[in-house]
Amino acid sequence: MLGQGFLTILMPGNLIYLVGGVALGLIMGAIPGLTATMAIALLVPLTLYLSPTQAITMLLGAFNGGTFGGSIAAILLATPGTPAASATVGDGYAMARQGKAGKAIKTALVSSVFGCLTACVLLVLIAEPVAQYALQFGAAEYTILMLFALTIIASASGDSMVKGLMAGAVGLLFGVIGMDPVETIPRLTFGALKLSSGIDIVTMLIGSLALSEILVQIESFHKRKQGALLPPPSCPDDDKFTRKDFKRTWKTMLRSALLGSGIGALPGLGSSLAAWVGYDAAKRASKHPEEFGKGSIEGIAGAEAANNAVCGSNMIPLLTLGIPGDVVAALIIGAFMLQGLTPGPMIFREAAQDVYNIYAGVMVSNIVMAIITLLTVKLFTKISKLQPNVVLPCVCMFCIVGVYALNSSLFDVGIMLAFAVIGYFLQKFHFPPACMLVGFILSPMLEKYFRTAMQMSRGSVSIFFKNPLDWVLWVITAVSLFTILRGKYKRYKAAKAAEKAAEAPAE
Amino acid sequence: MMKKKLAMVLSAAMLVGALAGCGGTDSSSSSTGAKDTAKKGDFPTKTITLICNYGAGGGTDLASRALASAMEKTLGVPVSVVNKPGGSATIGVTEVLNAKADGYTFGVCSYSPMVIAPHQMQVAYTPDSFDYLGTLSQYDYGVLVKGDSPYQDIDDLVEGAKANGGLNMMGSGYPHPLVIEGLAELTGTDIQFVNMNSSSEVVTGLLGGHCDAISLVMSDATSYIESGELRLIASSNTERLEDYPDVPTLQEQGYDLSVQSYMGLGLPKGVDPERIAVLQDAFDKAFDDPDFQKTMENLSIHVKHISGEEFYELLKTDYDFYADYFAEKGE
Repeated sequence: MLGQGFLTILMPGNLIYLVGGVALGLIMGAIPGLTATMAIALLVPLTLYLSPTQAITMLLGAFNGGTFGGSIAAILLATPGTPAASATVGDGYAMARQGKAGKAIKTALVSSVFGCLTACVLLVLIAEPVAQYALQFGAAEYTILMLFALTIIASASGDSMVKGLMAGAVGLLFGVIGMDPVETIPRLTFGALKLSSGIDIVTMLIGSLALSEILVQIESFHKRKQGALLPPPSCPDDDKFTRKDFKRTWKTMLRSALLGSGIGALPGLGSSLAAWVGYDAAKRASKHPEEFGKGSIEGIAGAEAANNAVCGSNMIPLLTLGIPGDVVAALIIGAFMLQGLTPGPMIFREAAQDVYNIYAGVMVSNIVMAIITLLTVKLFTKISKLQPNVVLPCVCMFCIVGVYALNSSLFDVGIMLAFAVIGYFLQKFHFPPACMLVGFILSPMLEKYFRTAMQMSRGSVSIFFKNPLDWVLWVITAVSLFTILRGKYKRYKAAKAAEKAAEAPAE
Repeated sequence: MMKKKLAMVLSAAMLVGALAGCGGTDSSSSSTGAKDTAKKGDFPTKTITLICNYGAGGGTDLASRALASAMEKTLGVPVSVVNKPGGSATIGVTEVLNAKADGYTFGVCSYSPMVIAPHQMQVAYTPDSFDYLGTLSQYDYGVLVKGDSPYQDIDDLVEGAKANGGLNMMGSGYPHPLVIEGLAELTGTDIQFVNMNSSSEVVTGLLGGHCDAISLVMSDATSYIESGELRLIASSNTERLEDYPDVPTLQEQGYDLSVQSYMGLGLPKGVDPERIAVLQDAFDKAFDDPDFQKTMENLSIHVKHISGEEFYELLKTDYDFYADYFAEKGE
């Protein structure tokens, strides 16, 4: 069945849609302000005129390409092209500043392909049991998972955990703006109808990470001479992903790919969260955690493997249960239904060959993505040779157009500009904007799941301890907290020891 | 030389961005090949905009696009769907309210943002603010349990609630609380409405055993009923559902509850009656279009064509109903 799927995909009539989808996804992902989700939303109506195989593989190809494409902008321009690339900005851009942009992009590519292929293998082999595991997660289980996710804020803090936590708290507060998840009454909207669905993550992302970075660069611009945006590679290896790099990162990639697959299979979480969890896991397992944030190749690998794994695994609950793993899968359901197919258990009986074609399509999309990227990476890195006074206004324009395009709303553009200012001040005072972003992503989810769980249990907290699964999640959260505190303690002791050593010769 | 090449690449990329920004939703109309047939002085002579109050790719959006394609054939000009989601679907409706009343803009005025949302938040319109072309579809609702559940009908469900000291029923937004809390009130049992964000979350919740029963839009339930994972135990409409004639309604089972909801289309008030007539004609003819029928069937949407006047009466009545309902609830 699967073999037949590959043969079908490689037919020129089908392949052209796959390639087109990947290419469009890559472009829209790489342009800051336009996202992978938007690419898919634009493509769905076109799928009416295509066969199921062509339609779905085109959309999935666009999602895969878009999720990876976001990292290109993150690395070269310090602006994530999509929310899923927000974890790649720190280390990616730092590496680019060291002249290693080519290496960074290729690392992201290899990790993304690896992540998606791993998820595809899981999809083909064990979709059913994975889906059943996803069903075990009710509101209580999600709540504990969100608590664990909050500990990631500490991981993304960089040097000052206090500042990171404060930024995270601000993000949590911004996440409150919008509809109450249970009563559906607007809060903190000050009567503005446009705020009643809350602040869009893309708007906040582009504003607080991209535009604020542009503001920072403009400020420092007049201090340095007219030069290229980024330094050139200092040695040929800086442009390549070498065997040594692979040896260093393959474990990270595998770990993040599995984590990403797990998160993608859980409805409602998405690739941004996966990226951060992957990044966090990479940092904790790394032998050189201090490099994270300053140009660690493992950081990029960890984030990118996880977020592209979601591209494969969000199909798991979709195909087996008919339940979308994230927003993109929800759009894809629409495309399925336009074809007269209903994703869910029946689809294996109604259209099994189509499903295998889709599996093959996702796998092939990775190869297509790799080929397109390797052919064009030189072009992308040339951007880094341009003068900033050419590139930055273009990026700015893309951001504004892209955010406007989301909902045809100038109000969104206004919010984005407000966040640009907020992000600028955060950066100036060394508060990590990424922490604000993670807090913002988590806040609505944590609140919704917690309150729903409490509703279901009529106010009793026993619902959080009912299943073995709950205990497992609590233990993971506790271990996570413990390792963070231990890490802090170790650094504190090391700093004290360094102080003593500095004082000693003076005696 | 390098700089020139790069400048060209960048401009090309900028163009892509600009096009995506302004022209994304035109793809649906241009793909049917409808061109501007300018008959001087006649209406319409340029593209008409259909504002959809839900996001791209969702059920309402796809139904809107199907309608747009069908209306283009009668009108002879492109009908372009523009998505203005958000605010519990009220933003799109507000856009229609504020649009120029020249007949070139109309939009989805679906039930929930018209009669329910105005009592939960500040909106600038009431059912009196629009002229209606009619409804496109009816949303059917039902009460479902897991395929292997011991509950065979609503009486069993209520018994279960009494025996276990309470039950959880999931639903996503309105009108589900009317069914669920209505049941609780009628029977004096602790049946709790648990709100979820989407139908998929509701189904997942039931399948995962996190609740005991659900109230759901039928179009989202059909494949699960077919596969046996879910079982329908009551129709929440005033009649039995066409596809499930053996399942009695809530009312038939002795519980005086029913809910209904429609996807309707409206124009801002003040449009020239002649122009409304042209749009009305195109709207009515859409229902006979085979492509439209096929798409709606694929989407499992229950097509229902109620006239504009009837829809307006319905909205007015239910608007007042919900005013009382929320006043009682103290919101």
